[in-house]
Amino acid sequence: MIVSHLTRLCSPLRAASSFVGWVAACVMTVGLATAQAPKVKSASASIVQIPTFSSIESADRSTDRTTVQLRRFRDAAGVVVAVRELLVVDAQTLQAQAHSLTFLGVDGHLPGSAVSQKWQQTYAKLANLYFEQSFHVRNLTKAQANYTLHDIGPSVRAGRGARRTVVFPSQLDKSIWLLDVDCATGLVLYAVEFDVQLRVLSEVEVVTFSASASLPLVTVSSQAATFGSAAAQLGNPVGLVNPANHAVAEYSLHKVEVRVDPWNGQQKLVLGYSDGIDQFFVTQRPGSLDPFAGLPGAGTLDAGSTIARYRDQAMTALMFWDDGVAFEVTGSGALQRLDDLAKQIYAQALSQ
Amino acid sequence: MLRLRPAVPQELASADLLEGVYERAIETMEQVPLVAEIGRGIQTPASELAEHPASLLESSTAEAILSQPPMPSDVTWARVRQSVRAEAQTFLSRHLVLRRLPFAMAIVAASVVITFVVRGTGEHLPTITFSDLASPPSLEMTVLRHGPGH
Repeated sequence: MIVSHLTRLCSPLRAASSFVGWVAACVMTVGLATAQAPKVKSASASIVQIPTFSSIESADRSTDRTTVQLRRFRDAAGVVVAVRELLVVDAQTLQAQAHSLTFLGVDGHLPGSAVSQKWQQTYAKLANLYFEQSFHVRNLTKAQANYTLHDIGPSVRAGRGARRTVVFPSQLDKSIWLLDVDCATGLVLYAVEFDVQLRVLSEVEVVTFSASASLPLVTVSSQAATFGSAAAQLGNPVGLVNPANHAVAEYSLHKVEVRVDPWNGQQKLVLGYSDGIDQFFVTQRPGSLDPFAGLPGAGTLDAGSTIARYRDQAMTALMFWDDGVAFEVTGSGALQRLDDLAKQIYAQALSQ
Repeated sequence: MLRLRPAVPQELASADLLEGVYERAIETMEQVPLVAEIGRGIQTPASELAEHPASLLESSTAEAILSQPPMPSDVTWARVRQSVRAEAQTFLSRHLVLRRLPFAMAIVAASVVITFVVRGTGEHLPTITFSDLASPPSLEMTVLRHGPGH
């Protein structure tokens, strides 16, 4: 039993070591872009600190910066799309951080083109979510508990000295991150997201960097966001479910907010859960129609209760409806434990 | 010779001989003490009959009947009490259940009737199944991960 326990314990570590070795061997060719691979140079004579979760989290929260960065995706056809953005982060206080993410253009497409306009409209609606989707240490304690950092060596990014680092999860149903961390500021200048089969899911690369920023002051609400306060903000509609009794192991609630859906203008309650780095969401939209109402057999006893599921390597989406509320459980593609969470929430909704 | 019973001699079949045998038997028996005792019969003295038959009380059996039996030990009496109480409780429970059973059955029957009347043919919690989609849905997550092409 001891041997098997050690074997299980060592499996993520062995996988981490293998991944680190693979990255070190492929250091010149990693990433979605085929060109612009940085040259690896020796670190400067100044003392280079090995990045830690604490240093990354602290830098992200407290360092002003203005950067131009490339965000790369694979679209539905599998084609790589590179979107150029302007990110301004003004770390005004420890509790409040103002940020602004602005669309600049799509590489390979002229400004004003149909593709460029579509992306511009998307960023106008979801810029804040794109910023949140980037690599962040969302909870330092949980990140230290659920991930390990492996320093690979020196690198150069945006003309600055950096340390190449791998963030490896203890549970292998999450993404692996390869980072270039700025030696001077501790900020992440380059982040590549891999799945456990080492397929690249996303990439954000800083191309220009300035350690300064200025944005209007943000106000921090004195009221802590809870499910109850968010439901009250929506008018306490019937059918909302507080999934407080359901959990996905190492994830915990880290964000509660009421947002307006950018496509239909409906208000919705969004609960964000995080394990320190990865995150998934439980979204509830009251006043919604049953999307399955028009299907044959709907509304009969034989119809049963159905959760619509979509999963690919990059994302998981689980959708169901009950009592006028449309539910969504969304997260990364590898996190299949979300299926059970969706079932539990649906069962709770049906029993209310 | 022994196959056939021999005939009785004429002399033994005579009445005079047989009567003589009877007389000799009576004379003999009259001289035996047991016969004399039987002839006398069971005679109870008159004094004994006039009084309470105390002699009967002298027997060990009577004495045992009339004497107080020994008291059981405390442990024994506690066990006896427990068993009596258990019997009484069982009797009471059965008695109460039997008395209340018709009432309980009436409630159950009424509940079933009400359930069918209010809820029609009856509701059951349906099983939850998954239906896999071939293409990504129109959600924020889809746009964040795959861009706005969906």
